[in-house]
Amino acid sequence: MRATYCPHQLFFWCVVFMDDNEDLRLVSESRQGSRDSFERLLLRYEKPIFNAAYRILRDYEDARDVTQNVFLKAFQNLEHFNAKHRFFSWIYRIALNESINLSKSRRRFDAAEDARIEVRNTPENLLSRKELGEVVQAALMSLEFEHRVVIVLRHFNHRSYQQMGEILEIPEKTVKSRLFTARALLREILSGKGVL
Amino acid sequence: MSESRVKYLELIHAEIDGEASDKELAALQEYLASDHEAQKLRAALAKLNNVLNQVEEVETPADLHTSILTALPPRRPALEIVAQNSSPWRLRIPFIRYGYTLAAGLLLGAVLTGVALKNLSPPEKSDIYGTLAVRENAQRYVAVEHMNLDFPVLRGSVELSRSGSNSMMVFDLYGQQAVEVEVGFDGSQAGLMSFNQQLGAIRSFQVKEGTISFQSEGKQRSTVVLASKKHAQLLLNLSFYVGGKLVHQGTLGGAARAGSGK
Repeated sequence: MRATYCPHQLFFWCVVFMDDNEDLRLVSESRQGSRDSFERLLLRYEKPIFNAAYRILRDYEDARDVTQNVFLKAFQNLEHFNAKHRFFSWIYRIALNESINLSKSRRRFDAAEDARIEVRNTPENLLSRKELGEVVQAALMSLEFEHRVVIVLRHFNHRSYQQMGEILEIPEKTVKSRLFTARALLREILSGKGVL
Repeated sequence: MSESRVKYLELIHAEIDGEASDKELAALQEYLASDHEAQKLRAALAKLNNVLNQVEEVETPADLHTSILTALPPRRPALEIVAQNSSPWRLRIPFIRYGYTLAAGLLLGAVLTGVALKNLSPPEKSDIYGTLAVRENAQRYVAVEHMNLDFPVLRGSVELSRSGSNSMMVFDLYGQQAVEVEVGFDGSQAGLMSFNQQLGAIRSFQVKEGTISFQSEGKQRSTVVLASKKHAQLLLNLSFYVGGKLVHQGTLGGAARAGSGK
């Protein structure tokens, strides 16, 4: 029996699993150095990621920073992406973490700003879509992060319970429970503003 | 709140979210017909859903796409990155890498000189591989199985070694034509950890769940390391093709599974 020594073993850690999923194919090609493939991933996800970040942070520039960081981090860490998971859940998770980090470094949404966009108890059908968007956004910002996130993923990113569970790394049951609570809170806030 | 009411509240949300089955929807309709409160809640949730649906999508900044692409660093093919990315500063600052190597070499030389003076018998080969600094924590691969290849179009050997839950296959192949090698394994139990090929650029390398394939040309050494779940002993199915024709098919890991360890 011969003992051998593999110095590479000290440095390598890149477990790669692949399947036929389009995202995974693009990830694989990106890993091989294809910028075109990464650009296709970018085209597919930049808008939903930007929208999620915007709804979570309510700041256009912050959402832009988050989106840029998300794709940079994804690009730099493609080797660490475990293809056993879905790409979208990985990239959304990076986006949520980036949003959490950024929101911690920013001032919290305050009541003064909320008052600025008060809607004078106007029914939703009399508000312009822009005004309605602002009221809903203000209401969202009143929610705790975990409740805001499930509303954003469900209503603005159209993710299923299962996909939300993958993104948030929580059981589907917990997703439902958070979503139901978040909706109850949102209803209460929007009713208070006369929108519902 | 009764258990059935909780269940139907859940169904109302599922209906709004499009996640209720036909059977569940039918049951919900039946329940709603007899529960006025549930009807009110359903209407309120539907209204909330309607309000949220009216919120417009935010347009991404016009230059976002370009600015992201511009900010991406240059990327080298993954296999090269895997080989160098283990320590970012090794990758980016070559003189530190060489300095580190030099220091390790000097240290190794000093220690070996000391050992030689103290005891004239030379150390075993395995003891002088790598640097002393990392040797203690390094995993040792133990050869467990060997496959000889002796065909007119393909010669060489494959050696399987193991270290903990890692399996390393060293392919020393020689052929006049390019040899396609396919390694099959239980993809739910293991994944690729590294691939390395000596002499020349990697011509072809593919990895899918449970299959790795690569090409070897001339006289070439290729090393594949698989990481498997704890205590999983992998059975590896090897196939060798030359000119598109199967030359040899064999299995490695069977002896280790049987516990021979030889």
